[in-house]
Amino acid sequence: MSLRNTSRHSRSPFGRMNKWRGFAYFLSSKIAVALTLFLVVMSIGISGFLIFTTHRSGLLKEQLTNTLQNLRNMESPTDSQMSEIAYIEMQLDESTFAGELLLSGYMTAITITTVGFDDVIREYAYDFMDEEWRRAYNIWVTIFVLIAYMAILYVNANFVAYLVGTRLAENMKRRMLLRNISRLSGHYIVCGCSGAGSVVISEFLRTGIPVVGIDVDKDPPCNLRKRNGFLYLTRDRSDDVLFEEAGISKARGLVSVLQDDSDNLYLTLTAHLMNKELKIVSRAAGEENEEKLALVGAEVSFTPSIAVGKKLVAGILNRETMDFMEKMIDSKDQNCRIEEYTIKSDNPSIGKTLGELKIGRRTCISVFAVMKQNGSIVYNPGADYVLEEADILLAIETPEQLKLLARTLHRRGKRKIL
Amino acid sequence: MRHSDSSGSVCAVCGAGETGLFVIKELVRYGYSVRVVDIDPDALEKAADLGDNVNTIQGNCLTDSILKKSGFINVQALFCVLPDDRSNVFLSLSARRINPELEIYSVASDISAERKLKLVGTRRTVNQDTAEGFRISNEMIRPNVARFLDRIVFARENTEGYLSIEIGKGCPSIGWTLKKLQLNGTTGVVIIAVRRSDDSYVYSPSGDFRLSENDNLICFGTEDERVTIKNLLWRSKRDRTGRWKRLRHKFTK
Repeated sequence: MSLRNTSRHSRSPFGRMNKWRGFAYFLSSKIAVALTLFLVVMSIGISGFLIFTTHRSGLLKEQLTNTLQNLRNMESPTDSQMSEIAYIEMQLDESTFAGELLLSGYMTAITITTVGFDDVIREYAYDFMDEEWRRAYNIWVTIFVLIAYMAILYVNANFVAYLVGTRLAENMKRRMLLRNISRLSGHYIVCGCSGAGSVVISEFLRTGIPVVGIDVDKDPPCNLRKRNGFLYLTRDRSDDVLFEEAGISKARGLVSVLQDDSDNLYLTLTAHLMNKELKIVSRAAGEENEEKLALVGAEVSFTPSIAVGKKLVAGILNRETMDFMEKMIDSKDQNCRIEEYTIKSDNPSIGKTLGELKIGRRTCISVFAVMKQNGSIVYNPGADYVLEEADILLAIETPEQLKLLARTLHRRGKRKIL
Repeated sequence: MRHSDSSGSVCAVCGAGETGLFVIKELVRYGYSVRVVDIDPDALEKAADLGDNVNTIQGNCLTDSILKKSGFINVQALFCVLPDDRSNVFLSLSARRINPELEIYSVASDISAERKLKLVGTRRTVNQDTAEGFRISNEMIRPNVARFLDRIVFARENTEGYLSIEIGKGCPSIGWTLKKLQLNGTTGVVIIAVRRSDDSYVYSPSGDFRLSENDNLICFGTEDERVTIKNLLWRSKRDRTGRWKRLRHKFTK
């Protein structure tokens, strides 16, 4: 499928979850070149210094062996001489190849970084070398320092450019974001975060449902920034990639409220193909497009003018009711809503009465109506109302109380024995 | 009570765009006669097709002469559904000046426009984004509540539905708690909320809730139940205290 096409992701080296692909991008980037260059310079330096170090330690070893021989030849060595013998023996034991390598690395490091500890260098270069070697050493250091200096300039420039320009921080952010999204399940995806979309998102968040928002802007709209549980993706790549990143396979629903109908249609179709069980609600700016949206898998499609028109007309028909309902169902500044709770077939409370369940006392809410399976409504169910399957309880409650209600209804009754 | 008197009353709709057409359709369905003003003759044609009692007037509704010509003075309500906020505010203001008793309903696209419309005297403003957004989220989170509300608000027959019972001045129940009034016990009606006099709400009031003046009890029920509750609330104190209590009161004195 087109998802496997690598050239699509070239904008972000870290964007995809695939490790190896990410590594390949890393290799092709400038920072990788710089790193390689750095490694090359280091290895040149170490190998160069290694020649001198080997020569130097060879000289050193010779000298030490001579001293040791002299000391050993003495007939009655004093205590200090004995300890000197021991010390020299230890030094001879320690002068291994690893030690030479370490010293060369050290020399390379202090040369490249232009630290150049004076005494170290003096000891290294002058104490043990004869004239020719010293000259060779000088030439070597001159050439090496010049090469290293340029390489380091290049590496530095690239590194800074990478930090500033190649969006390291942004990529890290995106990676974190994708990780957060991959942890979600049962979330909703909202395409279009301005206008109606932002209302939808804040309503979802108020109810405690995680939302992934998608829009063309780089940043989410400011009223949604820093809202807990809201994750935002920029619509800068193809829609199916984006949907996959938004975790569409685990999402519960998708809302598409873009301005353009053909956009909505395309998104609906894409989403429906990727997850057949997704509940999709889509906007249809023109009434004639509702059918088409239903055809490609939108469960509900509606025109915004109907939502507005209905409210306008409701005002004249039934003003008092509408005022209350409006407060109950779509006011921004309060937490209480009319909420529904559906009794599913596996609910242990089926067959019990409301009085038995003590809903009022446990949750401080009052169920004012029950919608039956056949569509009829029972107002004011009393304490002797027996719950049936697929009943929908309606009550005014906060999201917390709704959770409490769910817990109350799912209690496996211990008191049944009594 | 509810829109039973709608037949014969006249509404005016300014703007026959998509929202306008929908409003006209609904109004015709509920038996209003409608006057429509728009510049575009095609849109007016579409509007005229919606019903017999739709009168169309072509012209710019932002001019006073059109407003006067179309007989706005005799209209019950005016719907401003023009595409931009500025025109809606302007239209509301000029209509308000011609007819101070007019009910004006208007659409608005942002909060500042809503505030201005309220200032001009609009009875009700509907924000497009909010209306749409809540419609979607309700459809997603609580589809049955949305259905329930549609049924309640757009119910034709006057059987069961929303009741709001005012506790007027001098009501003997003022100062009593809901528990003592025994509303639930006698009528079976659940009080879902109480609107206080300052327009704030108390939801799911407990038995200890004490009634005060100008509270509105909100519940769902039939008109009969409304009467029962009203009677219950307006019972005198003597009726309410039982015989046994009265006797005890007498003895202790």
